[in-house]
Amino acid sequence: MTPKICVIDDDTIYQFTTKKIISNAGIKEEVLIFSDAENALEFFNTESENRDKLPDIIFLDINMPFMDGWQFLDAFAKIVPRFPKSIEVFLVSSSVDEADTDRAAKIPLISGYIFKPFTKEKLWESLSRIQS
Amino acid sequence: MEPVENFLVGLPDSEILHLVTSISRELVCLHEADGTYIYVSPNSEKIIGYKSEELIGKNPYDYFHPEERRLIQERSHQPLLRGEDNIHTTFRFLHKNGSYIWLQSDNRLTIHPTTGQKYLHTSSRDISEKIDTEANLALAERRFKTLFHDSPIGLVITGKKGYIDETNDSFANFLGYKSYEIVGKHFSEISAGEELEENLKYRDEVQKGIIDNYSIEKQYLHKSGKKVWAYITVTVLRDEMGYPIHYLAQIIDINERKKSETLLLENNDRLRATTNSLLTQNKQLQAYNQIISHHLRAPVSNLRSLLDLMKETNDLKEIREIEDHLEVVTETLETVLSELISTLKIQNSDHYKPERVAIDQSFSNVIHLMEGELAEKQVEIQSDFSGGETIFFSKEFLETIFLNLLNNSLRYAQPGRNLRISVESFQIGAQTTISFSDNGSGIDLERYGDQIFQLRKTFHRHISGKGLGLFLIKYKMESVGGRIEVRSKPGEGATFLLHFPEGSETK
Repeated sequence: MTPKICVIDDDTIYQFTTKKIISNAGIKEEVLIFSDAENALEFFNTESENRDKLPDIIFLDINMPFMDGWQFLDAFAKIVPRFPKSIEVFLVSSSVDEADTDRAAKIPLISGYIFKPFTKEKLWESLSRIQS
Repeated sequence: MEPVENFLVGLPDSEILHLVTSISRELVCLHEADGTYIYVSPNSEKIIGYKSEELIGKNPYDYFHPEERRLIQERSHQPLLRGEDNIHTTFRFLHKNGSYIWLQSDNRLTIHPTTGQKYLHTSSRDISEKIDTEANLALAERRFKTLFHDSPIGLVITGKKGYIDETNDSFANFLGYKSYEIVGKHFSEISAGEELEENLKYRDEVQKGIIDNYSIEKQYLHKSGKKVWAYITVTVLRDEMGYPIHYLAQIIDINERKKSETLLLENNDRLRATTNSLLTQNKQLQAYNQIISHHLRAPVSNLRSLLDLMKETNDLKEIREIEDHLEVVTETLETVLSELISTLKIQNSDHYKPERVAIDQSFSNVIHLMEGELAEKQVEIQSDFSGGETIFFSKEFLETIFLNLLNNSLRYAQPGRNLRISVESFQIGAQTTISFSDNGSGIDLERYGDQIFQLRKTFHRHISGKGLGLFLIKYKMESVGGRIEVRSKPGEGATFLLHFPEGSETK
């Protein structure tokens, strides 16, 4: 099975490079991309019971202008129990602030923390966490 | 001896004499012309310790104090024999117990009517106690004078009306006067005034007998006109009825102590202000560093990803696309860098040159600068700076602030309604506040209140806010001791309150 990947990040260049890295890695499935965490949240709310639409893995940016990664996670945690499958969430950030990594470590929903730049190697490593 | 008296009572002379002398405190004696006792009244034992019979036939010169024998001879004995009358002498006499007592005598010459023989008649009393008291008083007076005049503590005696009766050199020197220049002045003439009321209140309480003394710190007027600090203790001296007759003030010079105390307090305040401003700056710098590293790291990591992708492909179309993105990232980097430079410029306080700025003038300059855009969007602007016409601030920064706030309002105007901006100034105490309101889309403060002044935070979709403006305004206001506040409701607009610190040209 090809994993379904979701990227939430407001940076369009990052969206472009990540998409490229994923397709270069041979993953044919289309990547779900959200520039805005609220739009993403709306999607998860609507499709919360739709197994086929839900991604297997989310790469979530922390620093976004309107709703940031943390705020997204707060709201996301509430709808997680409704999902018919498990979703791995990775925080992606260019921040090396220890406060951010410490905070992430305390949230069980988060599978890992990825420092930008996002690379092929980091993609494979993350995908290896998906149980199928 | 008047014969009439014994005639009336019918007693013999000797009996009368005995009666009189035994109850009298006067020692009555009769002497030969050379002084030899021929009669000593019976109360002698009470006064000088000897019985009369012990003295009869003896010469009093043997009992006079050696230092006074000659004096008695010359000033009393001889003149008496020459016929001078009523000679009073004061001398020391050897008591039987071996100590000298002070006697005062009234002496007279008696001449026998028939033989013409001269006799001396003396009447003496013990005045030792009086002499002692007087001597002690004189000594006490001398001691007091010495203490008063030589005391290193300033001393002033004032009468009950407040006029200075006496002062010592310490106090006179303290005020730069000679003591005679101060005597006669009223104490309020040399008092600096500030504490006079407190001083008078205490004096009043002393007057009423509520208290007997009080201590205060007060300022005197030095002869040179400057004020000097002193710690004074005022004690009241009362008469037997309890009415104040004099006030004794003890004055300690605490001018140096007060001066260093004031200096210390000032330094303390300054230190606290510095610490506060350093803490604020430190916090801002930390936040700033975090922001810088984030905003530089993001485009740099994009550059790395794009270059990696470029290496992996030979597809020209794809390379072209990556190049376009590289262009965008480079532009972003340039923008971030120029923002950083302008931020650093503002952070450098050497650039901050405050002056008296006319708010009206600065606002007009900015409006003029944005005339085109404001007209195009039909922005309605009202301003009223009559509530506070000037502030002590940098003109350049004030204009930057107005520019940023106007841009902010334009950016967040509520679609479908004409933007209205209202700016006014008013005073809160010594502070001048400028309020800047618009009827734009506002901001949800409950949600974003803590982030609104952060660098590169924007809260609206589809609007490219750099977020630098508000960050800089807050930074600048805080670094000069001012404050910025925001009040807003989503959909109803926002009001920014700029509280400028009380400014002065002398600082």
